[in-house]
This record gives sequence, C-alpha cells and structure tokens, in this order.
Amino acid sequence: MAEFCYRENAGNFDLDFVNGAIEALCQKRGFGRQKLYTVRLVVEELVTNAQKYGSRGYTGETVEVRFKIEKGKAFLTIRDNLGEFNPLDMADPDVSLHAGERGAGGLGLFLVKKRVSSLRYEYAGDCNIINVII
Amino acid sequence: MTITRDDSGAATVFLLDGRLDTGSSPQLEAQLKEFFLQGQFDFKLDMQKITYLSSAGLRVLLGAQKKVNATGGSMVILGAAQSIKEIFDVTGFSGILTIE
Repeated sequence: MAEFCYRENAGNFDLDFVNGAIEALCQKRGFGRQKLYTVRLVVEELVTNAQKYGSRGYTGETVEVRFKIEKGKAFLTIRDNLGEFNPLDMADPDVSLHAGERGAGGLGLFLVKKRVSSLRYEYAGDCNIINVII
Repeated sequence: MTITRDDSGAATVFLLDGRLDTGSSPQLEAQLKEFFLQGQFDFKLDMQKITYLSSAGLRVLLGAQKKVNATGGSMVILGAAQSIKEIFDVTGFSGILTIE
C-alpha cells in the first residue's frame, strides 16, 4: 500500500507539491494516464473550492490531503477546518447553455463528480471531510 | 505552462505548453486581456501541448469566448488532445468553443 499525507495552513497550501508527490506515487503503482489525470483534477478542484468558499481568513485554518492506493484504487481524503461547506450542495451547471448564458461556477465539482467512483461528504469535529474513490 | 505568441500568420496564434490549471490560468487570462486591449479579437489557441486542463482553465476560455462573441471576433482551439477534448465534451464546451 502506498500512502501520502500533507497538511498545511490554507494560505500556504502547495498544490503543485501535493500533485507532484501523488503523481509520483501513482506512476510507481502503474496508474494509467486517465486515472492520474482524475487524481490531479480531484485534488485541485476540491482544495481550491475549500479555499475559495470555506476560508474566513483566520489563522489556524488548515487543509489536509491523505492519499493511498489499495488494490488498484486511489483513495483520497481532503479535510479542512475552513468553515462548514458542503460542495455537494452546489448545483450542477447547465452544460447545454450557450456561452452567453453560461456562468463560471460549479464546473470543477461537476468534472469531479463525472470522473470518480465515489464522492462522500461529512462534517465532523468542526471539519469538512470529503472521501473520494477513483 | 509557457505561452508563445505567434503573429506571423493571418491570425495570431497563442501556443500553450504544459498544464492549464489554477496556477497557470491567470497567465493566459492576462495575455488575452492584453491582446483584447490592443483591439484584437481574432486568434487561435494551439493546445497541442496542453496535457491537463481544469475548471480554472475552462473559466478563462469561457471568458475569452464571451469576449469574442461580443466583439464579432473569433477564437479557434487547435490540436487539443483526446483527454482535453473529453473535458470539453463533458462540460458542454464542445458546443461553445470552435475546436479544430
């Protein structure tokens, strides 16, 4: 089993570092390009969503990413204390609209939902916890 | 991501190389904003070397498409890889953008 854990102040979260480390693990375990693309997308979209919608600018706000690979599946847990925010409550964008009617919101989570096997949210211990299986 | 602007042809081509994500999309947004401020609204985005596209990149493309629609210009996406086309398809951007 390959594992990775990273926890950092929300403002200093190094997305490139996390994705680089996870990508290296995935490559070691022979993950295909498509799965690797999805892992990267999930980390980017969920972490940036948490920072964008959850942060109240307090010190002590942290974001944690845990990643493991087991039996050919990737398990991601993203935990933050940035204020209660359930991304699954966000409405999906209407992808049939033309450019003039399209808003920019909700695209990231929509992409994540379309590409993962499982996506669960819970709020526990003053933390948002999102569990993803890819 | 690196962006190279090529003005040698009939339409300006921006050659993108790398990942169009949260970190790099402001760079493309700034380049396009500068281009629009020059009163130019016809261009191509060569995405042949783009290996990854997230919603941050999509938002920049949507903003640019809205701008060219409003001004009668044109934006053409060139050479997108299959993995990028899949992102365009699932988000409905295939029906919004001109993809060659």
